[in-house]
Formats: sequence, C-alpha cells, structure tokens
Amino acid sequence: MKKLALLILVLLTVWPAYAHRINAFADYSEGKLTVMSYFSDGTPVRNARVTVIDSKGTIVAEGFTDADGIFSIELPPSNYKIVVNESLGHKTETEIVLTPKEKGIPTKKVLQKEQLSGVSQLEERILQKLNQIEKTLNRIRVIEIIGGLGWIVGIFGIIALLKSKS
Amino acid sequence: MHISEGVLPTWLLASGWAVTSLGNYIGLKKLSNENIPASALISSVLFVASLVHIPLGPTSVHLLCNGLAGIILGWGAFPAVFVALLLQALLFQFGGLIVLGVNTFNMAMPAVISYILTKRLVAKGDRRSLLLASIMCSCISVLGAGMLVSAELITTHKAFRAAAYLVIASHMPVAAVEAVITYFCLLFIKKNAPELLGEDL
Repeated sequence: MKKLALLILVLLTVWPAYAHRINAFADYSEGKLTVMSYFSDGTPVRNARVTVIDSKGTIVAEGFTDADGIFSIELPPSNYKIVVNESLGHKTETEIVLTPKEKGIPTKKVLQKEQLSGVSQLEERILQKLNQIEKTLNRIRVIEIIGGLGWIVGIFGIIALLKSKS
Repeated sequence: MHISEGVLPTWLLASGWAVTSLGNYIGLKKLSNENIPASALISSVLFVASLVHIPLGPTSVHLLCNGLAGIILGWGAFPAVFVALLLQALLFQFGGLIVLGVNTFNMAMPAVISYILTKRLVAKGDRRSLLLASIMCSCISVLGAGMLVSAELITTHKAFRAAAYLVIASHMPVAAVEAVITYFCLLFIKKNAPELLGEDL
C-alpha cells in the first residue's frame, strides 16, 4: 500500500503544462530529469532550447531537445522550473515539484532490488499511458473546430446587425 | 507563425494592439453589408487554414491564407484575421490574448498591402492577370508576415536571428501552395460571384 502511495506521488510529479501551442511535460525519476515537448497536433518539438531553473532562480542546466522532442539530464533531486523555447517564438513552461520524501531518501535505498525493478517497470508503463493520454487531450478536436466556425458566423451576424441599425 | 505570450516586450505588444485597433476600425468602416457574409467565410477559412500543418524541417508550418483574405476583403482583412485569431487563441491556445494585436497585424497588414498592389490586376479579370495577382499576393502576404514575425523576434533577442531566416525560408513552400489555392479561388469567384472582386473597399 505504501509503495502504491509512493508510486502515485511519483506520478503526480509529472505535471502537465498547458501553455500556448507547444506543450512541455517534465518527469523526474532516479536522478534524471526528462523533458518532453510537443506541438498541439502531437508532433515533437525538435531542437528547442530547454532551460532548467532551480528554486533560487539560477539556471542549472541548458540544452536542446532531440528529434523526438526529448531532453534529459542528470540532476540532484529538487524542485525545478523548466522553460522550453522553440526557435520560432513559441514558448512554454512547466514545473517539477518533488515531495520531501523524494528529496530526502532516494527510493533506491528503501526498496529491495527486485521490488524496484517491478515498480520501475510498472512506472514506465503508466508513464507511457499517461503521456499518450496527455497527447490525445492536447490534440485539437473536431468539435472545437466546428464550434469555432459557429462563433465566426455569430460574430459576423452581430456585426451585420449593428451595421444595419446604424 | 503565432508568437506566444511572454516573448515580446510590452512596447511591441502595446503598439501591436494600437495598430490592429486602427486596422479593425478602418476595416469595419469600409465593410459594406453585402460583404459581411464574405468576411465571415474568409474568417472561417483563416481559422481552419492554420490547423493544416505541413511538417517541414525542425519546425511545423501551416497555411496562412492571408493573401486570399486581402485580395477579396481589402481592409476588411483586419477584422476577419482578428476574429479568426481571437478564436484560435481562446479555443486552441494558439498565440494568446495579449499578443493578439501583434499577431493580427502580422497577418493582416501584408494582406492589405498585397490588396493595394494587386487590385488593378484583379479588376482586369483575365486569366493571366488573375494568375499574376495570385502569385504576387501570396508571396507578399506570406513572406511579408514571415518578415514581420522575424523583425519582431530579432528586436527582442539577438539569438533569434538564425530563427528569423528560418521563418522566411520555411514559408517559401507555403507561399507557393497558397498561390495555387488563391488562383483557383479567384477563378471560381470570377465565374460565380464576380461582384466580390474589383469592388473598391
């Protein structure tokens, strides 16, 4: 039960950042910070500048995303702010917040070796699923497009009404 | 092509809103009642066109169709672009409300310029003139919008210089695709609704 709670806490650190047009997701596990960035249609953002800032506001790491839109780096456990700057002026931010437990005792020492591999496998699978769900959520849905067209008709209808009155 | 929130400095955001407000005012003033349905239609086209992504190199470009908006609506391109971008910002988080002024200006101003430069050709109305007008207006509108975005990014960060060239280079194929689209649209309109063309808006 405790392990499950711990796992949920770990999963909670995968904090989605709903920003503008590009999205970034960050995950911290086993001493490694991983940042994934996608356009709203799900294609990975390649070669975007990633800046990792610690809680004091100093830049601790900088780099670029690879062909899959992923950037990862080994960092000590702490809270981080991650800024992703795509070369054409798209920008997004995400944060990683670790629990005190995660910061203090590394999970490796608490768990037995075989338990650990089981947990990390499960974690991996859940992370994959979670990423898929987030990608689907961020994809533009047909219903919103149709809704938008409806709005346009309405807005120009109002303009026509105001014009005909004046 | 949409500049995100928090990239540009305040003075640029404020001037963007100022110029866009003026453009919207002129556009709405010149908009005749007969042209309101056409504006709504063009606005819908602009709204949907940005969702057609073309994967190209490290970035992802999309159709703009602002040239088509300019050639048909003239100054009316301002309110049409404004409404389309407003809805994209609200529904899809493309761009944002604070940068809406700058983003509208980037797309609508080149559209109006291309309208002014091509209206004589369009008024002539033969196929060759329409083709020439389509090519001119697509290049001016798409690459003009690219140049405005680049210029704004360069004034903010010198580091964007390389990106700025990329914006222009990656929009060459977009301009080409749009020239074809605009040409067929013009032919269709000429045949079915000639009153939309050549009217002095």
